[in-house]
Amino acid sequence: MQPFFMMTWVPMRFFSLSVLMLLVTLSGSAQAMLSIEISKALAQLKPLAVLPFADEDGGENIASIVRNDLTRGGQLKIVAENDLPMGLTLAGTIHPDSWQALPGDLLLRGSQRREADGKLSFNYELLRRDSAAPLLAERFTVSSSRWRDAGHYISDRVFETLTGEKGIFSTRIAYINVYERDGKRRYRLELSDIDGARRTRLLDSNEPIMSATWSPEGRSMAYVSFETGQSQIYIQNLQTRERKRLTNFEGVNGSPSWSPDGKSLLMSLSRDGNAEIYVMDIATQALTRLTNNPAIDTEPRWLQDGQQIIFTSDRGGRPQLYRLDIASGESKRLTFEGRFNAKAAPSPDGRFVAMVHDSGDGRYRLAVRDLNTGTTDILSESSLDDSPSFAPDSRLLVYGSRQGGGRGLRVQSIDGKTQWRIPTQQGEIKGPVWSPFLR
Amino acid sequence: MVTFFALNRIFKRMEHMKNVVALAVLSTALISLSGCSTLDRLLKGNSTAISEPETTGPLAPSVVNNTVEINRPADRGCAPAALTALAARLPEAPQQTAVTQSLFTFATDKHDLNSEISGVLAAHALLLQQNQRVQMKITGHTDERGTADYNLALGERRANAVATFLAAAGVTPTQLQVVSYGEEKPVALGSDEAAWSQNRRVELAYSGCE
Repeated sequence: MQPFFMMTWVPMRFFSLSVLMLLVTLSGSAQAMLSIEISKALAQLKPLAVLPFADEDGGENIASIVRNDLTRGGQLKIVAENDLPMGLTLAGTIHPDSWQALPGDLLLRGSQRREADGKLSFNYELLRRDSAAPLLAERFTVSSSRWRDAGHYISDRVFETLTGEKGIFSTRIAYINVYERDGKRRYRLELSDIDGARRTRLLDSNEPIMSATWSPEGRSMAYVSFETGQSQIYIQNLQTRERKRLTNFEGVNGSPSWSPDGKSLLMSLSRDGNAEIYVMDIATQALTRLTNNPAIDTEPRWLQDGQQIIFTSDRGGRPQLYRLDIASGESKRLTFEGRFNAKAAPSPDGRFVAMVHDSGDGRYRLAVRDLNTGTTDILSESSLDDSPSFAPDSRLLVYGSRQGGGRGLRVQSIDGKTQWRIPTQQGEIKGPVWSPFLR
Repeated sequence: MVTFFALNRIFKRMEHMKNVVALAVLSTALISLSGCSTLDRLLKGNSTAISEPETTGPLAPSVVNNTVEINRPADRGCAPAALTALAARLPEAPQQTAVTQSLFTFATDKHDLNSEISGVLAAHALLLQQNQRVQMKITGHTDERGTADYNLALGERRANAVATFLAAAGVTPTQLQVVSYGEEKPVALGSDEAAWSQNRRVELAYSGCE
């Protein structure tokens, strides 16, 4: 970074010359660093205005999907729809006066057209003030049923261009919906887009469903179902909807959690008398026991290296998080603050673990621990949070929260700057889990 | 020379912007000369031919949308008359009354049995011993606080405490089934102690009385 700061002290006249000389001598890796710096700098420019796409069909405009996505994703400043100048149709080269009217240095514009065969074709470009060349320009065609996918795809591409990071806008969230039918309580495992649209039902049961979890490549889910009259663990293929029951044991069969290589499942089983952590090879269903003590050991989660597990145990008297090293079999306590720490959710990048935390005031709130520094921040101000789950960007968290008289899903960034609710529907919504990247 | 003057003009305009951004503008001109492909991608744009976004895999709306529906029949419990008939054969009247109580509540985080519960359970133990073909399902429950998975194990602690007592009192273990529902089957909705105290419970259900 040294060369960049040297620039500030050099008189303007010599600025360009020295930079010219500097850039000529840059190595390849420095150029990569340059592009990341530029990406971040682009993101820090004045806000991005997402204009309504030209669209003869009328109806909902795809730009609203993109605008909502990028607003919720954090890290970018997006011009609010109300602040967009009226009647701005910017086809062709943009006149400087039109740029004047725009409260931003970045502009996304595009068009949507229905083809003769019914497909939708999209054409969009991301422009920067004072630059003729677009930052990003693309055209593509999709079947009309994938209109929302197209919007989220554009959001991902714009986000990646401006931040250098992969967008999460095409990911999904799975959750449990507890609702009433004919006066009786029922339980439903559902998926939706991150904006709550396109709810898909996987399983609808008159017995509880809980503890859903995604496989690493996003093709299957594991969960606990009480359909036999007690808790058992199932896996289900999302495409074929085929289900397989993995456990057949007495006692509690709970907390399934996939290994990074997708071949085994951690689980908490009380078949031997009290809840202990096991790992099951999915293909052979062979079981290996990992903990051995009279306390409750549950909620196991693999760390990305596949060598360590974080789990909840009350072996110290109250539920706390522990870290177990697979090779040595040794467990060490991880959390010492507060009287309750449970439901560890490690971030995909291995830097953080989110959890449900009671500092002693009887409120159960979302907290995040930095695994490098050990500092823990409480992220929510509610009182009955559960089931934190990281987005694959390791930045956003979804969790279940009491809302009004019911339960719903909230999303929060770990830096606290971005938060929003996933639009509600009928029923109590809980146990959310964020999918991996699906594209 | 032309380049130099152009750059100078750019810098006069950019004077107040961050240096990194100024560097970005400058490098547009310079790097495009040297043909750096990383920046080309960012700055020159990418007007590719018609292409379709990669599939979102198994979750595209066009995929099979069949919900698997589960309807487990309710447990076939003992008819009240059948249970009364069995209870009538207990030696003492207080025992006959005691076996009509099938729900016990607990304090927060507790699974111990007080003397009142123990007294009631002793009567249940006797009924089970007198009727070896009768089964009992013991279900453990918690309130909604904490986490759902931990509560599944906590509910089992409560149910196990009851099962252990009954077995110690002489009940054949194969007559007993222990199931925890954690926080998943509350009897009282609401997020206050009034609801929570009702949900922290163990329930007993007889079957096979006929």
